[in-house]
Amino acid sequence: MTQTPQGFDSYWQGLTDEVSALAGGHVEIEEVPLRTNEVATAYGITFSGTGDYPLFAYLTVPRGKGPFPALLQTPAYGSVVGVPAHERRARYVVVALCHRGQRLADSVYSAEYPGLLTDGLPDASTYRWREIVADCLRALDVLKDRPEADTSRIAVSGGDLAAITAALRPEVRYLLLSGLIFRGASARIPELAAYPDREFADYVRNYPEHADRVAETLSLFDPLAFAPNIRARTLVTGVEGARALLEPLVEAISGDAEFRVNTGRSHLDHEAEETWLTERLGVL
Amino acid sequence: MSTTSPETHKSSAVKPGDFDAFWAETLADTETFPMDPRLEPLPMRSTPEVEAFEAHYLSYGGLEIAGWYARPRGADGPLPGLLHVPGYAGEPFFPSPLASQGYAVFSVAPRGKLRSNGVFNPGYPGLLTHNIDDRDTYAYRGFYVDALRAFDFLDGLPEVDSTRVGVLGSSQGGALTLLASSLRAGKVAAASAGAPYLCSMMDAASLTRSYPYEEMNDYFRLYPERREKARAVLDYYDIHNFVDRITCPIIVNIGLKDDVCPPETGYAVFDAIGSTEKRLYTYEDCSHESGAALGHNDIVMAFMAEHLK
Repeated sequence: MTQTPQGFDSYWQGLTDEVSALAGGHVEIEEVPLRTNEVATAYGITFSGTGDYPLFAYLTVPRGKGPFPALLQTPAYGSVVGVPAHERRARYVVVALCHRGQRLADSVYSAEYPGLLTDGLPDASTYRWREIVADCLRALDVLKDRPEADTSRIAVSGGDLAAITAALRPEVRYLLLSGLIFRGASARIPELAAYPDREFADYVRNYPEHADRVAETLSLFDPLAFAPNIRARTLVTGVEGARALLEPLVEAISGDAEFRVNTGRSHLDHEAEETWLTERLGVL
Repeated sequence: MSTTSPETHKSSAVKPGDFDAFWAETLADTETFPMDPRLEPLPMRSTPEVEAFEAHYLSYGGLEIAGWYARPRGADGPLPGLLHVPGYAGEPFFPSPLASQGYAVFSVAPRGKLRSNGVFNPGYPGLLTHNIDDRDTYAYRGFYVDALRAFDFLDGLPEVDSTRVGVLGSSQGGALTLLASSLRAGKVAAASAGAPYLCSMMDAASLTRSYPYEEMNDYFRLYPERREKARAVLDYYDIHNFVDRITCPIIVNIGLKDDVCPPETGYAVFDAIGSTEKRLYTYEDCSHESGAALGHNDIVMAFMAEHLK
């Protein structure tokens, strides 16, 4: 049984209400001829997030007659979001979001690396990642509204942001999850020795008086707390060393979920993930 | 799109007759800008074991370049140095974990990366094809110098033993490792280049549909008339054309299923490396991370310890 952090439901309900108020908002779409190729048309799309923040995403649409399965790529940790991969562009309508602070969505605020993981701590109300989650929900709504997208076949890929998006948006049918940062982080802060997670340890070492509040805030972002609300068919991948953190997550997810241990042979691991996704989305 | 025998690939890169003169001129131009190195303590990232700093210096064209520097706290005597050079799109690695192993470590953000992008900011995608058809203003001219000056920055620190400075990186970091080992031959004591990018660039673009090389395919699709001019420009920047100068001990690792930097180009550049003390590690069924999850990082650190400690 997953223990829900105190204030979890109200914290996230408030956010989803804010995002819902933006539904149907204007989306500017412009083709990017330089990135359009023989398999897909590429667009840059701009739209507002919470706080009227200007966001950017790549949208790619396969050549041919749709509708197509739809994939939201939630952003990884880092300043750059790339154009979607060739094989994904050929198969799905893809939205690759740049959340606030990342390049192309940094006209108001530019994220720092290292630094973004602790921006706005210790309070949950000011923690930057709350707004970033909102950006992902907005991007999913924009994707759903695309006429080329088959809304019965919506998938989300990525890390913590993908898990949270799937939990807060029940229309997500498939979830491909890897590279989690927040899973179990709140209980292990002093042990986090590798960046980016080490940012949490740096923060608490410098502000020990905030340690408890930081842990409370991070617990609100732990995918485990969201797992009961994830109804999507889910594949979680990770290294053997992360099994103790990831297996409880897989078991707690409400939808049909499985855990794949990476082999360390990255081509094989990548192929396994992409095959899982294409089979679920009915492309193969 | 990879070939059946990547180990037999012959690079199409051709070293121009005035290649050495072009780079000698570029480096001479750079000398008109004193490096003006600066370090500022970074308490947020410092620990009882490691002191961390934000670093700045001037580079080609007078642009200010940023980096992170970390060293063991209270170290007694000269320290071995490690320059970490970054990949294409990501931000520089923060060096504290390496410093805790006893090295003075510098991790540079060449122009265009965050904190070094106030003047030059072509973006990602964008950097690879920025002015690709103009030899004198191509993006990597200043970018390459930034990496060389990063080596000079580290090498010039009083606590660093300049006979024991190594360079390491992967992908674009692999390319910059090879570049620094070539143009700072005799000074670089050991080098580790992973999945090297910017090698046999025209060949690579024809072998993959993955970014960043896909930027070139995009560009030539839209501007086919510029292909041959770009080819001629890239010959001045192709890492394949630098590496015959390398003399230090060096290791290279490649993934045999790398769709980002095709193994054909990795084999070819390894063959062209001038050092007699070189070793290639190949990883079956690995893509661009090229064995990192199979323990290659341990091999790299053991290699550096053998040559620098």
